Amino acid sequence: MTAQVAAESLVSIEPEKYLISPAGVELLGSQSDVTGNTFWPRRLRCPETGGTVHPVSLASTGTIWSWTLVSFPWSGEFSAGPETGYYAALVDLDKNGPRVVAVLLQTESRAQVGSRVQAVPLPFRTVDDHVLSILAFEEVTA
Amino acid sequence: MTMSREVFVAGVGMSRFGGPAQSIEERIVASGLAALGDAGIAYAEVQTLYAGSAMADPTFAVRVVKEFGLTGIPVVRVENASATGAAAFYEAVHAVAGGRVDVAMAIGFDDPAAKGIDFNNAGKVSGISDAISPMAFFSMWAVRRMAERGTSVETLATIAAKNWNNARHNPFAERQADAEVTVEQVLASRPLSYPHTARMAAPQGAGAAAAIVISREAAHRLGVPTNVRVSAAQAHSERYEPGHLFLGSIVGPPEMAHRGAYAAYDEAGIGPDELGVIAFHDAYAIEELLYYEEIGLCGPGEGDRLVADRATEISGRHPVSTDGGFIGRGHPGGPSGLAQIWELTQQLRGQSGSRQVRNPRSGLAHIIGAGSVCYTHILEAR
Repeated sequence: MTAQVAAESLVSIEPEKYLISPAGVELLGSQSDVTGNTFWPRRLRCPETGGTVHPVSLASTGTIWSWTLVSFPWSGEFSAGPETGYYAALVDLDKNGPRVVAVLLQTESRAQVGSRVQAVPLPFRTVDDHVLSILAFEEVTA
Repeated sequence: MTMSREVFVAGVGMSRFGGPAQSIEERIVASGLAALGDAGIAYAEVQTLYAGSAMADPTFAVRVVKEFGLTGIPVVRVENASATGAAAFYEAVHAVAGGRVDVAMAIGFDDPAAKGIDFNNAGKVSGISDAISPMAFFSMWAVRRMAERGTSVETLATIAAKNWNNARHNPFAERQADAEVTVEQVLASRPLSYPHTARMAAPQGAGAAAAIVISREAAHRLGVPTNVRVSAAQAHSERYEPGHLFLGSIVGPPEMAHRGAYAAYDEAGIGPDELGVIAFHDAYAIEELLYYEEIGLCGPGEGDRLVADRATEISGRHPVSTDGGFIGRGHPGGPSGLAQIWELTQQLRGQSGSRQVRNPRSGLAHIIGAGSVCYTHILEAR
């Protein structure tokens, strides 16, 4: 499902939410200055207290809270990506992180509720010399 | 918010959802005139109008309601996603309850196809929010439920089949099956988003629905029966809890259903066992199952047993989605919440024909919007 492209050419389609580099995926969150809880995407204020928050990098690994297989192809301008359907997952990030939603890249081992996953880029559209990529997770097999 | 004076449902009306080609303007006028006719009053008696649409262009609502007459009353466009019609009803109820007016009208309408709305994720994806279809979020509720409680896909199909078959007795329902729909047929229909199949999800044809509410004083003056009272009108939004999603805001926490229902029970002075008819935001079968428990029809994890016992069928002790619900009656958006009020009113009056519940005294309507707001109304037979 993932197109084979050079890691250097991958860029995030929504860099305000996550960054993509040869080193991997960095999820950009906020942490409450009052409660210490973290949120994704970044918030202007703490949703619990209304107090201040500061930006943090969130863990790029986590545990699947739930998943589904959507039986529709993606529409739009795609150069890569699923043609007949795609998996999605809700993932509870490590280090007491927030729950996030993303595409799930299934492997033969079939990730389930409770499976360990890590964030990876899913390339799907080429603009100029860049390959726009969206946030995805795949099972940690090691 | 509670009501400082009594409010009654004077009249309800709706157009058939989906169905034969009809312009949205014709549907709006038909449902509004039906509500006025049901109340037995002229539009000139209406003192304020809330026009709800989740999808119409900004000025469409105020333009189209001119078809009822230019009487100079306040006309306000209301939008709250799937809960738009319920939001319009809520505002109308509180306009009367607060003493601002004596007669208020709520009308809701939408035509998703005409607006090019495709909830199956069409269009140019620009990020996670539009890459992940709304249906996926409900389906992930279902997969989680299956993992935690052992709920089967057959249970979800049983709920959907019930609603399809209830819709067969509702001439205004979008889905009109020629013969009884079986669990096997639901399971065999086109996969949408695991575990949901096409027959476990709401259709989204066009529609319109309307309701008129009235004070006791105006009802007496105009000769309108006060046989259905609005005994609770509650609105809530999300509260933060661990695991809260801030992206893909279609599906909020089911906890809102619990909070809305229990606030409504407090206001109405009844408990869940006294509900004779119930309407949910059952766009997907998993929702109905979870809401059984959230509003207290049974304890946590006991919803599957409720389905197995057929307790939520029309002849059961907790009749749910008697008009077909979202899955059978349809879910255009703007009118969906008012279609629920239409059904509860008909049931409480004993006017529901072959889908009539046996002597219901109270009915609850629950609906969510964008996963972020929740409206809960309780109507009571007088």
